[in-house]
Amino acid sequence: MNSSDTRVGSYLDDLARMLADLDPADRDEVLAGVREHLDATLSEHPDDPAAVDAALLRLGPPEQVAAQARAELTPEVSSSPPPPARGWLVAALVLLLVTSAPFTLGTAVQRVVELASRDAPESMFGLSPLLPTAPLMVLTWPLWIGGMACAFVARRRAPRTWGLLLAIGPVAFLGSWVFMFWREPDVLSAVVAIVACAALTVLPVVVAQRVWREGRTP
Amino acid sequence: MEPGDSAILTHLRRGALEHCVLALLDAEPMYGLDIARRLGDDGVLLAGEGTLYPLLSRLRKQGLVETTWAESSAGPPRRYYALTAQGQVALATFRRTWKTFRDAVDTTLRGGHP
Repeated sequence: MNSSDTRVGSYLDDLARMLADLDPADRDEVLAGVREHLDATLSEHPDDPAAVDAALLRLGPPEQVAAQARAELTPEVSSSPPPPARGWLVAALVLLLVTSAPFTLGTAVQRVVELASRDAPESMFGLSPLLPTAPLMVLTWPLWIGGMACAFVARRRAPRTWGLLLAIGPVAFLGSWVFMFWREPDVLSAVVAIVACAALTVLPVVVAQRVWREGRTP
Repeated sequence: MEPGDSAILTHLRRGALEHCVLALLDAEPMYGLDIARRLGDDGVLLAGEGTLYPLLSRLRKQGLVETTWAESSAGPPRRYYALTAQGQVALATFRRTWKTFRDAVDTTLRGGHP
């Protein structure tokens, strides 16, 4: 390989590297055009190093070609579909919080009350006084499913955090069920249940806050 | 060229250069090097010959030009660019609009009203 080939190869390599973020078909087409341009020029002046220099000079620096390629061939940002209305996000947050936080918070409060009144062990170690709320929780299932659906529709409003919302929703919901029925007759299990239920209450609120913060910008 | 001319030319080229390419191809199909030489001789229409190829690529994607290969007597086969029917319509529209635009600018620069 002579020095002319090296300079041409180096120019094309630099240009290819600068076009790396372009669509591969666009990049290949621009590179092929420039390569053919150089081939055609050099075929007119074979073995003339000065002609190579002149051809590269007239092409302009690869940075200039790459900037032009980005301007011509990068899709407009506005061509992406607009994010869905913020109402979907509000609905998702409200439904997911309403169907989990009251139950986890209620369970935590109930276990604290039981633990504080150790002289009433029949309450602590017997059936949960919250059991009457179980039918209510069953009734909230459609609401919870609706909340998940709204979160899915609103995913483009909060692309970084909406996955967290989907993950936390089922965890909080299932947790409220588990700790309503898991009632081992000892203090440790009561403490574990209280801490877990408190966490399952706070966590969705924190996640909802993060999702809301990301999704509120238009 | 005076300092500062380059910035003005960059702005003026937008929207005009692609129609100059279409106008060249209206006469006959041409290959890249030939188009670049015709447009880049005076450094007014093309900042650098290399900037022509992203433009040609976009015009082809938009269906305003099409490409064919032809053997060359002096060197490798050449990719020829030709105007499509859609390109001819775009060029005709530009010719009409350009005349109105150019007259308005000229009149205003001479101190008159458009």
